Amino acid sequence: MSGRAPSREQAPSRGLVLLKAVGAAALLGATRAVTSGPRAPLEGRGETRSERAAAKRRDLVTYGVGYVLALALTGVAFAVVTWGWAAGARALGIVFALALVQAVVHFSCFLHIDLRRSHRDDLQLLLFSTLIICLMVGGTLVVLFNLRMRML
Amino acid sequence: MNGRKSAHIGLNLTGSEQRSPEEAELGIYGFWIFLMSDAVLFALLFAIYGTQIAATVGAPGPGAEFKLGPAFTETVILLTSSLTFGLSGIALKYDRTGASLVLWLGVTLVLGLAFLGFEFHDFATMVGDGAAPDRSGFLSAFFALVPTHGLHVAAGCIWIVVMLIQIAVHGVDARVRLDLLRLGLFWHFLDIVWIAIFSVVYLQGILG
Repeated sequence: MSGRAPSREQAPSRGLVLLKAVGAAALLGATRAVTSGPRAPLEGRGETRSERAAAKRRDLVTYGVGYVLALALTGVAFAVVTWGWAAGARALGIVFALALVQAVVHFSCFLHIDLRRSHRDDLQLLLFSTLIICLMVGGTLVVLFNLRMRML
Repeated sequence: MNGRKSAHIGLNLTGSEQRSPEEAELGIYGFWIFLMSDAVLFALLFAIYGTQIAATVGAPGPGAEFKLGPAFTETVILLTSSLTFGLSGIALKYDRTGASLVLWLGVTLVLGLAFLGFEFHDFATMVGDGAAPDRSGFLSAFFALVPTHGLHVAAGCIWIVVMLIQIAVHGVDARVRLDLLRLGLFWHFLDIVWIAIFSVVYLQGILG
């Protein structure tokens, strides 16, 4: 009944493993410091204690990785603007691309959207909404810019 | 849409007591539909803002009014509040006492209020500089977009307070769990909208 399958489809890169280890260690330390206290016994949920602990660690790592990635993407976007790593339209393109990647990180790590079959309906809703938004925003821009041209 | 597992998006809460997984799914899916309608609202506000960026009419423009420091601070605050809300969700799922759940909800609330404080200060500074909402098309569009997001965050903060009261009165029962999942969706959605705001409004404005 827990959220994630234990097997992975591909071997993670060394950097990602290190990142996850650091994130997991930090978060585990923080949460352990905070959530000390007597625990009621588990009511025979069909899971062992270590399975729950492992699932909890996976969830924590997911949030930690998402947080660190989002922070890094934010930092790079602000750095590009603050220190002028790129200029003009290219800088804007980089900022928007970073924003898109960060949105995907949020959807994946914080909102747990993935390509699993059980989530297909939600993913479909998201894609449909994106289509509606593109149509409405595109139409708005077309009409208003056309209006501006006619009024100049 | 369902197998035997609870198939809705978000942390699958183990062993939900009174509600069937199918009910939880529908409740969550319905809230997603609301969030998508909210996304359409924000998207159109962004579109209008895009058409009004140049309409500064001699009033203070984006270069003069947008400051990177506060924007970055607000971004980090809101991102951290998303993390702490996620930690409260993990506490909801795994911890038997309600203590860490309440703690992380409280931290999220504090961060949300801090975000609102910073943002309100920014707006007050802008109005003090003569960049009021009625001064130019650009400023009207800005004040339509960013305070709308701020109002959503304020509503989220009120919702957190309501959930804390509900936890105190009802304990962490099935309805409270479902509502906390929805609140989580709402909170993360607001952070995603803020990503768009700081990119399209603040960073684009400063890049000129």
